[in-house]
Amino acid sequence: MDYAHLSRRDWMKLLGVSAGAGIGLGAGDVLADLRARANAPAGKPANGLHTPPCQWNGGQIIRPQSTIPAISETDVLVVGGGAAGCAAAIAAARAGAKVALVERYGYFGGLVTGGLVLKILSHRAANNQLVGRGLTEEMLQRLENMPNGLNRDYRTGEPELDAEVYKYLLVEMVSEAGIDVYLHSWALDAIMDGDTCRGAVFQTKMGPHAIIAKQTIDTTGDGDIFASAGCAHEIRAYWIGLVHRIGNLDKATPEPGAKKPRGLGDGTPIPGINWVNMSGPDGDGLDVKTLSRLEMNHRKQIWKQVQTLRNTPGYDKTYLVETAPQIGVRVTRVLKAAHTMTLADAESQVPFDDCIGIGGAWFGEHAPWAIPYRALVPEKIDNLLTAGRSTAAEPKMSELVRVIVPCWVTGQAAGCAAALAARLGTTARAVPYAELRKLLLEQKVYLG
Amino acid sequence: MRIRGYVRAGIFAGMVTLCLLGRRFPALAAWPAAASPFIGLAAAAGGCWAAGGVWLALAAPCLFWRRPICRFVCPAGACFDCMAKAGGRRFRLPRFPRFGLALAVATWLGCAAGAAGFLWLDPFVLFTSLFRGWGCGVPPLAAVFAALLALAWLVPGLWCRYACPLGGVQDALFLPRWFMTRPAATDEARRQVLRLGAALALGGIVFGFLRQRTRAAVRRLRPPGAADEAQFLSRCTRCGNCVQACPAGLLRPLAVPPLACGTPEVVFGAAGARPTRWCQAGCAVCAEVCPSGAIRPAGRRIGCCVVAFEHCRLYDDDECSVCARECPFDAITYVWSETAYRRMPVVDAARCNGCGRCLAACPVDPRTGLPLRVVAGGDA
Repeated sequence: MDYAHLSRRDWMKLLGVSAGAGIGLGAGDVLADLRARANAPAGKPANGLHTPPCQWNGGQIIRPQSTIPAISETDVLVVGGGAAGCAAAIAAARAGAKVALVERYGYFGGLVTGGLVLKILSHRAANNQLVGRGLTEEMLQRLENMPNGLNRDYRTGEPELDAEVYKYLLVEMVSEAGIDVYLHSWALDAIMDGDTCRGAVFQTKMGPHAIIAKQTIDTTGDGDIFASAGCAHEIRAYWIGLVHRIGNLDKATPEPGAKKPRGLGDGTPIPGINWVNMSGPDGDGLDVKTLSRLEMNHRKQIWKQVQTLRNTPGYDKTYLVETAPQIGVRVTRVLKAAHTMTLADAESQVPFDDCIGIGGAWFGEHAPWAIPYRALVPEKIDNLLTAGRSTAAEPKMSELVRVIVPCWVTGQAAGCAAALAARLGTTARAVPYAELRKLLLEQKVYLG
Repeated sequence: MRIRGYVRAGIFAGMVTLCLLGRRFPALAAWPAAASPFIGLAAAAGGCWAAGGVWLALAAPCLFWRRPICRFVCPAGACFDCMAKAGGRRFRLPRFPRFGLALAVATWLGCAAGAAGFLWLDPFVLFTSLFRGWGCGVPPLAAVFAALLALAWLVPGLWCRYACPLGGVQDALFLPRWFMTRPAATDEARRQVLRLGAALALGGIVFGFLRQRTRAAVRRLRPPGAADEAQFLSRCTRCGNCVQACPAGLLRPLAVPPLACGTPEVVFGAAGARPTRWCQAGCAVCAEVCPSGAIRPAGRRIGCCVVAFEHCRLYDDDECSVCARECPFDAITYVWSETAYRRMPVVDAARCNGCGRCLAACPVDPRTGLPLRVVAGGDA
């Protein structure tokens, strides 16, 4: 064929052959893929990690047994990228461990960012003593140097942070630490080898996969991994609310002497935007029907409340900025650990010989309290730790433990302990306290 | 009689030591006042044996000896006798009945029936009150003591012989008196009966009047374990032991009105300020030091907490769970209202003691108004 002088017919032939080849290749590809899927033995995920569907077996729904592929092997696996989880992952990475951080949403911060719990509480104690140091203080200092990071000085008060600023800060810090990140991954099960936890299995869009780890930290907040692992725990039904933010409050012109309307909330670092809390009814935060009902009811109430506010003289420009993407579940599963923290111990300032952190007061009004390592360790299961709101504490004490700063403090402690255990080859329970204390002090944690 | 002088001085010194030690050791604080048989009988009638019933040891000699307490033990009497010696003026004592016993009887009837009495006129109480409660202002009984000192200087023996209820009790306990017959003219006998009648009538009028006033008394916050208000007013000796002894410093003697003057009231803190102390669960020091059983280890509570919701953080949807967490009796719960779509602290009146722990714990700025306060009575 003379390609310099092609006739129309030659052109058509050329195009036809090229198209045919392309289609053929593509079809071949698809066919090959389909054949591979069709030929995949039952239960074995084929290329692309597609899992076989569940089977209808005369009314029973059966999931075919399959081997879950492990996509990573790591030193420390942190399940849950909220306040406690991020602190744990960053601390473990800085202690020299290879860390995998897994999170169900597409961003870090959990209830702080997604739940819009913007208030930093419990970093101060009586006599204006700053007990939240280490990662806590580092995050606060970095936040205050970012535009709209904090709205007041954390050294003398309880500031609010901005959720978007903190989301970015966590991305920055997690990247700096060289952590392997798996977002959009929902924790399914623990991997158990007898009484030892070997990692966890996650559900993704591509099907389930596993991450194998020497040490696992459950910072899901709901104790999903330690419950799956068979650790003793208790499930509490507590207040479930929904936070929202409102805007244009800097354009509000309230009548002088008028009663303050409901739902004004408190300030955030962004001028004119307030966050509004909600206590909410008691509910089981693990039950999907409860959560669904409350999401609907709370949004109805928030809408109504904002409209009422807009109809109040002077507040007509107020608008609903957002309702929190994460519903305000405060506590669900709480671990039953080797030691359960009590309010009486906290008020008597009982010291612990395995203290891994110090908690403060909500409004800086009472004395600090010590956190023992034993409250993070399950009684029987090995190589699994928890941190954050699921740390072992009686219900009254959980009120002090579940707020942001103790989550950072217990998270940092769990991360350090897990990294140390992975490095030394011990179980999490048997980490030598002297070494752990040294590591925590190196990370500038305040231990009293 | 020099020996009597030395014995008297020795016992006086011992009493003073006991009063001073009572400031440091609450276990001893009740002893001086409880030693008086006048107080002791009233307390025992109510089932209280403060200081192990030491008053019995003092009452025993009275059975066969004329006024041994006045002669040897009574510290107030020792002071009055010194004043009498120092005083120059002596007036003739007019003839009127000895109504000390009438006062004692009226008081005991009052203790039984719930009308204010005269336990506070006991000379032991008057003396020990000088050592108590100074931190909260001058105890009102010090004024009474000063008045009686002046009276002793002006008219020696008037109080001791005629008015003192403890003296009257000793006279009544002196057994031979009941068996002695005096050959008296019928006129004299008639006059005695008239005098006795006048004394009883006076006692009855006072008793009735005080009972009336007791009923109308304002409900005040009393120490935990206090008897009901009427009983409390009749039993309280106003000695100030409890005010002195309370480790949280919650008790103050009332200054007015006349009826309740000197009785202890619970005051949690200055108005508009957050209290810093509260009544500790398990502490019963006020009951330990009470000589007359007006305050018992187990009894009525201080009061009940009531909520002014518009000042509470939950009213503004702010996160808070402090008062329920701190309450030692688990008396507070946060109840969700579906219509109001918020939570509200609710006090269980059956559990609340009125101890004031929640008042001290509440983080609300007191200048805007505190959401919690304790009110007298059992109803929330």
